[in-house]
Amino acid sequence: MPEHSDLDLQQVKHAAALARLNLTDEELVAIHSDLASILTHIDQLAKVEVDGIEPMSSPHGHCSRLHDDEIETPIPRQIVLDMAPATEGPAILVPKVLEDGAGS
Amino acid sequence: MSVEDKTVRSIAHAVQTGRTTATAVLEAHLERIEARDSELGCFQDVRAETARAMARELDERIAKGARPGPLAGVPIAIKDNIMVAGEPATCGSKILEHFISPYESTATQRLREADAILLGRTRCDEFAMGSSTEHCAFGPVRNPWDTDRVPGGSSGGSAAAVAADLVPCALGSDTGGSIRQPAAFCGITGVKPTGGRVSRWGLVSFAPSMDQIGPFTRDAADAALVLNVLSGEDPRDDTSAASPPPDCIKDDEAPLSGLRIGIPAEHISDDNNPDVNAAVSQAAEVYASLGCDVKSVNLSTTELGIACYYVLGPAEASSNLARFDGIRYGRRADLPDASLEALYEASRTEGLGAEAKRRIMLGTWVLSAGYYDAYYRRALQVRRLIHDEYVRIFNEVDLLLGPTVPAPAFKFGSHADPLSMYLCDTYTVTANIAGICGMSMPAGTTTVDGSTLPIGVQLQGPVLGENKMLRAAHHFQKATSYHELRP
Repeated sequence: MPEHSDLDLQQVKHAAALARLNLTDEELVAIHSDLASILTHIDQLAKVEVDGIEPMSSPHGHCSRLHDDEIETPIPRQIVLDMAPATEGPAILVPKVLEDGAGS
Repeated sequence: MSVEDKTVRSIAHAVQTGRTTATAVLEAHLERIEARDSELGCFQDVRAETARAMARELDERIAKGARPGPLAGVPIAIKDNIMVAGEPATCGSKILEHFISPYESTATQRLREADAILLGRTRCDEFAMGSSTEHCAFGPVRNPWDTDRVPGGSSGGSAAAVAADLVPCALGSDTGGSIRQPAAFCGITGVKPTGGRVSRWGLVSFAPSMDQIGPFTRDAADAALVLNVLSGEDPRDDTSAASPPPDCIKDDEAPLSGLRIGIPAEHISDDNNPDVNAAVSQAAEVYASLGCDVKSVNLSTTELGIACYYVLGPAEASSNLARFDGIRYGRRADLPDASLEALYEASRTEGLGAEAKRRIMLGTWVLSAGYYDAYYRRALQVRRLIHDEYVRIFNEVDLLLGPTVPAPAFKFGSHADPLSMYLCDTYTVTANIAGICGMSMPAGTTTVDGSTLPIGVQLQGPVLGENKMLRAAHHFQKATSYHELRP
């Protein structure tokens, strides 16, 4: 298990990029210090003998059954559009994703 | 009518038998909220007009001879992360400040069908992440016992509203202690049901393997009544349990003699406030006097709880909160010419608060390439150890008794270091990790800096063991009067 001291500021920046958060240098330093302290506490998991223990992603023993194959009424389109911050006609507006000509 | 000392049962009975009307009950509670809530800040949004319409409609039905439901006319407040169709659900976050729920949660739908009155929305820590309600973007909630202190969290608004008699019942959600800890801090009863007991449909996800909706009430008998209404399988939540509601009410009066209660030695730490440990000992004596077999047991995985939880919870949260990207709903940054990536980043960065960002960062880190096995997979293995230890111990005893929180309510700002705040949940997180049920009930008071503050004790029961747990709490409350104490 990696030690918390492995976590350097560059890796905090990498995590922020993965999390789609644009943090200021000040915020990065503060979060670096918080994460280091929390990870130090979490490091005690490294001392636990877990060889051969099956990971348990959920305690819900009764979950993941199949749904009945029935058609249900979806949320009405207008309600979905009303929730969106920017719309045009029946569509939700987003910035251009493809470069000009890329889709042709 | 006066709202003090009114239980869910007494209100429902009075409305059902025509001794009062839902409208009269509602107006009395709205007056109380008007008088007290500017100081406390429990409510994000009092839905007076929709509540009045619900009460009027119920009164008209009763006048025509209809038989009202089990929660007839009972005003219930809803934590602001549980969706009611057409109403805001901010989750205490700026990113959802103007969000309107497009559909109804199963929990509130069941309350409606039982003829409860949905009265308004209570403040919570942002996305239910916190133990003090200081992380609510719209202002803190104050503890009615001492307004310089926090009500606990994350369901602080719901807990404080019940403690101050603004409502006889409120819904909260509990992912690591967010119902039990504020119930302890505010001197009321709060139940975290078994994972899957209450449908999570319409509860804004934080960590779905651990999130669970439950009630805050004045006493266990009220909690049992409300839980009966909330419980049951829901095809819209794959994790909902296919077992019938616990029907805790039916067995309320059955005696406790022979019930085996274990006190985890690891929960009676010297680091706890001494009055907290004393309250557990006194509660143990009460149970012994009721004919229970009380003994000390070991729960050796207790010390791993917070470490395990702060891998699993943030990992699930970082995945769940990825949906808040400024595109389909919620706040979008005002950057007309930005790229899609820049728009995601700006919307999330502006809209999310410090604690939500901290947990997203932690979760992203423990799930990232090269660290997944070391942190996340290992935490899932430790989860199984914690789960298996509970299974073993519930072969030995029926219920566990211990402190809910190591200390009473703290002052605003006194846990500025995140880890010290997280450690408040040492005794509660393992129930969520293992998916068992737990609850907090008042069991004493302590005096800190001249303030009298309530102390809660926690009962924990096995998966789907609510019936036994609530019956034990009910008998404790018949034998004691801590639950009748008021701020």
